[in-house]
Amino acid sequence: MTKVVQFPVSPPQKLGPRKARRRKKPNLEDFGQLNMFDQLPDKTPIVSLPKAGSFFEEALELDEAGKPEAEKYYLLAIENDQSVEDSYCNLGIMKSGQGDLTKAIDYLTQCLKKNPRHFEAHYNLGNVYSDLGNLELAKIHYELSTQIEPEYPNSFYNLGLVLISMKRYKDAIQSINKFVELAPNTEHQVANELIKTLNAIAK
Amino acid sequence: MTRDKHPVLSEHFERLKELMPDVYAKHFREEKETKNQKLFRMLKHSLGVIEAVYLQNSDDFSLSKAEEYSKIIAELKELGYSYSGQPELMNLAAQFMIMKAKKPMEKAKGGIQQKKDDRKAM
Repeated sequence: MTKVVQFPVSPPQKLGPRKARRRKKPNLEDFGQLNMFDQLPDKTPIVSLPKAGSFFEEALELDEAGKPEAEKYYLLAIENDQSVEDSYCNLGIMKSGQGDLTKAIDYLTQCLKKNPRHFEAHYNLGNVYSDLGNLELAKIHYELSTQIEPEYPNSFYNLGLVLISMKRYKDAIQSINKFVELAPNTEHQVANELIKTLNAIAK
Repeated sequence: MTRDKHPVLSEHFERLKELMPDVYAKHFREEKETKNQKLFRMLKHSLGVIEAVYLQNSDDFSLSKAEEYSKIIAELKELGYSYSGQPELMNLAAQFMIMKAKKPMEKAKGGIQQKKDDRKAM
């Protein structure tokens, strides 16, 4: 009797719609490739890259355009160790413009902590202290800025105004004369008028 | 003879009027005052309040308040009234106004400016 061998029959495939299923990702390391992006770190910083060369340059561009986002970029510049002292200095100016003079002093002194001979920080601190009515401190910072940058005329002008407020008219005349020496001709008229008045008072 | 016409009492009240003219003359003075004079008197009282606040705590008195105070006095003078003001406050206001003419802040340019300045014509 012949033996009936059963022919292996695979169950018929069901035709019709088929659901999309997530394919299992191949483990790249099985193929000899080091998988570097297996897991994202928990705190991935999302930072928009600066359009200009650095965060500081981007901040400066925004600042010059009067945009408040400049503050964020100055802080990023500090975080990324780019022009740290200048960023602190300009943050100080921004805060002073917003009327937050305490924070302005904080940023400007942070700048001086990094660079005690930062000319702009001393000059700007002079301005902040004169806004606060602290003429003694304003005078010290203006004087320091004239020592660091003896060719910058505005330090001498503002120092002159502080000396007028302190009623030290002769010293004020000297300081404003120095401003006239250094400043462009277009700025001489007001300063010369001031010197005339001071000469009349000092007599 | 009425009581207030008694010569001794009359004399006494006349003396009091001299000693405390504000108390005795107030009623008559206020009636004679023009509207502008009344306003000036009220303004002097208000300025007196500001001066008292300043004298009580001069540290908390901002420079801009001192400036406003001095502006009121300047306007009063322009209108022909005389009020000298509290000297310390006037001095403070003068300082503030002088310093308002100062040159602006200077931004740090992150070495960009310095690099440009370093270039010298050969």
